Amino acid sequence: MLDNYITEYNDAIYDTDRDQALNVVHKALTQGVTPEEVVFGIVLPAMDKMLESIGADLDTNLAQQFMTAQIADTIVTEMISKFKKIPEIAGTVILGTAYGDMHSLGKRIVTGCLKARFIDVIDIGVNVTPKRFVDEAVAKNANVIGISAMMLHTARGEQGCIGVRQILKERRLEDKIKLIVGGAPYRFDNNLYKTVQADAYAADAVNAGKLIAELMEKP
Amino acid sequence: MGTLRFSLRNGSYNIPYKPGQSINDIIFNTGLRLHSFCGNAGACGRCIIKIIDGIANPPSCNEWNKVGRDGVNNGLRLACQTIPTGNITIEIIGNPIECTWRSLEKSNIVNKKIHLAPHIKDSEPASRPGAVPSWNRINYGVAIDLGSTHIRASLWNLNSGKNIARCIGLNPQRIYGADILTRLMQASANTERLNDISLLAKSAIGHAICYLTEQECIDSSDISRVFIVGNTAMLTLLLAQHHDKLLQPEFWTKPIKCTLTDTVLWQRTWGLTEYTQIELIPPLAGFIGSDLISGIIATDMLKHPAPNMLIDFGTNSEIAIWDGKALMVTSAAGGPAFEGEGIHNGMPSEPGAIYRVQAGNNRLAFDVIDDSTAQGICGSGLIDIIAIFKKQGIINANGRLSGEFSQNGYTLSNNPEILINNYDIDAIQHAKAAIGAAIICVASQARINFNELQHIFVCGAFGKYLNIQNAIYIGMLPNVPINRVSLHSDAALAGCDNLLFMADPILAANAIINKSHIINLSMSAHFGDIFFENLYLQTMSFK
Repeated sequence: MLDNYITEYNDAIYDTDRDQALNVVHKALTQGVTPEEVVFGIVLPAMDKMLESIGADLDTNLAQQFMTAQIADTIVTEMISKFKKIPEIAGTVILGTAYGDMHSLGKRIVTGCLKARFIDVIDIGVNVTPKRFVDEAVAKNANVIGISAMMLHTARGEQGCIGVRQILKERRLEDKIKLIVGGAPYRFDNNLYKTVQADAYAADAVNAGKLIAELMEKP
Repeated sequence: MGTLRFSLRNGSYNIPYKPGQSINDIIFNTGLRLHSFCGNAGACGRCIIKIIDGIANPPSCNEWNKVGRDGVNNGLRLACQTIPTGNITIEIIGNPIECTWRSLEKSNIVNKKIHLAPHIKDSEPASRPGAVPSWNRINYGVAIDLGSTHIRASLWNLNSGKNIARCIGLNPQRIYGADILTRLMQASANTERLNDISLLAKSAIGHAICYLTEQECIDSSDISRVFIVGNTAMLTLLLAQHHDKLLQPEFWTKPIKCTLTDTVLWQRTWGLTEYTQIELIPPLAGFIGSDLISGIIATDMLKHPAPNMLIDFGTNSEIAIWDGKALMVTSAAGGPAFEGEGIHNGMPSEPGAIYRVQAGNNRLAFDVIDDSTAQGICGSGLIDIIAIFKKQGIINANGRLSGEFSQNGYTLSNNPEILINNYDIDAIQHAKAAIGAAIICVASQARINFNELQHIFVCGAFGKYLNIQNAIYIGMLPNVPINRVSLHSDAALAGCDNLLFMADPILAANAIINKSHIINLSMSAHFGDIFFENLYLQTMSFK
């Protein structure tokens, strides 16, 4: 039964038709689907399906990925207010753009996708120093630090991911806080994340959501 | 320890090497250079070699992607990713880069004769550079547009005001990276690389001057002025100074000093005299260089009815709005899609490029530059196809090809195969979104509605070929009446030509700089939302 909704919902996403996507959700609600089922039975599986198609190289473009995140964000916010029981936060992630880098759009898509998984996202902005990444993670009890970098020199630089890894080592936080990276440079060179000593990288923002959720689940 | 062996046209090479170096590194030490548009990241796939004999590390993920399974089975590798162990013999598949020049059409403009310093006798040293050294000698001026991809040069008779010759050639710095950021990174790596990058540009300019003067049998000692314009990255790399500032956000709205100090050395390097005035026209701020100032001069936008707009399309695009009193200027990086880079069958607007596409009866009609066989498609051709397909419903507003074309793309021609696929359209959408958002943000800051714009001057990648209606239709240009838009090819060079005929070119440049207000888009709260909205293929809207 929910499968039909998933298909209709995803068709709307692929057409980046936000109004239609919202219609599908409201229709489901009027036909007895619970808010919890909307989130866990429609929105999240739809996102996973999109990931599958990205993986199968049928790819989705940036507009579609942004729309996925934006709509997911809107719907989940609306649905949570109707949940019988507020779900537990699965974890907290600090997101930021590397030092010297001002690109902020990728993080917005990541944020939207994470919200749908009940992960608390704190976006600390652009041009962030390694020290600030770690300080904020400690202050907010975050399990994951996500660093976005769109240019090779900010991805590779001493004040980028490498700098954060250094501080995590010094403060003995490596077991508590995982480090993931994302952005164009990591797509071109699939091994770059190792060079900069990250734990993992995401090839695109929608995948980042899933990756971070998986990292949260690990003990 | 081992030896790397390969043969080129001019002979065989046996290079002993230390373990741990990539083949690209080993070759670098010989003074030869292999193509690398991506700074040896394994991303551009241009440094292909074949292992004939010998062992190296296993191929990386990138290599499998770039040369394919068949390629790997046949011994194909990327030189920048291959680390040999022991003796190894290779064949170089990609050719080492050559810097060749070709002539361009001369300019028809006749400039006003320039009066330089008073004539002096041969025996007296010049009181200052630019002084005409002798009796009725003809004086020549050279204008240089130092672009990231191409260097353009033009030679003028300063007495008659006529253009003698023009030429264009590839910027040999490309071997260090196709884009500016990669080159700046490479230059910051070590002094040796910085000096090499600087020297490549310097000698290329020298070659251009030789090409122009030799063609016309002109003595280079008759050149009184050499003026250079370019974006800030190019100017700083030429000087090998202050280039590192460009990688720091604090400098993106500040002017960066690009002054020549060792003039005598440069005069000697280029075969000029001690009387030759060499000027690097100062950049505006951050990445926005004197090529934009030059474009503003060439189009004469400050004298046109205000408000008006200039757009310089490229990998880095610049936008300037003149409101009658001040210039609001910004730059936005959208990627190199407009110049055909990163597009499956994309190429720059050169002979062999499909530059115009029109919808006929059940078929598409192409026009190819220089009427030669179509080799690929350039920016303006892509814009046309996207517009036509959107009208016909083959592409939707999202930019996705429909049905049968969604998987393999749409084939425009066979022999050679030229197709357009979803990735290509996505690349154009990215570039379009960046420039669309930049245009909207600047217009908003200048408090100007699109319908108030008296004129739009289009320069850069679309300065020569562009279907304005199609561009407006998909949201690349603001929605204004078509007769208010004009195309200006080689605007940066044309502006530099004008500067050659001014008594004080630096004053002229500074006059523009002083009227300019730089807008840093990364500081704009709304840029993100406007960017996403402008991804879609629809006319630009201004809220």
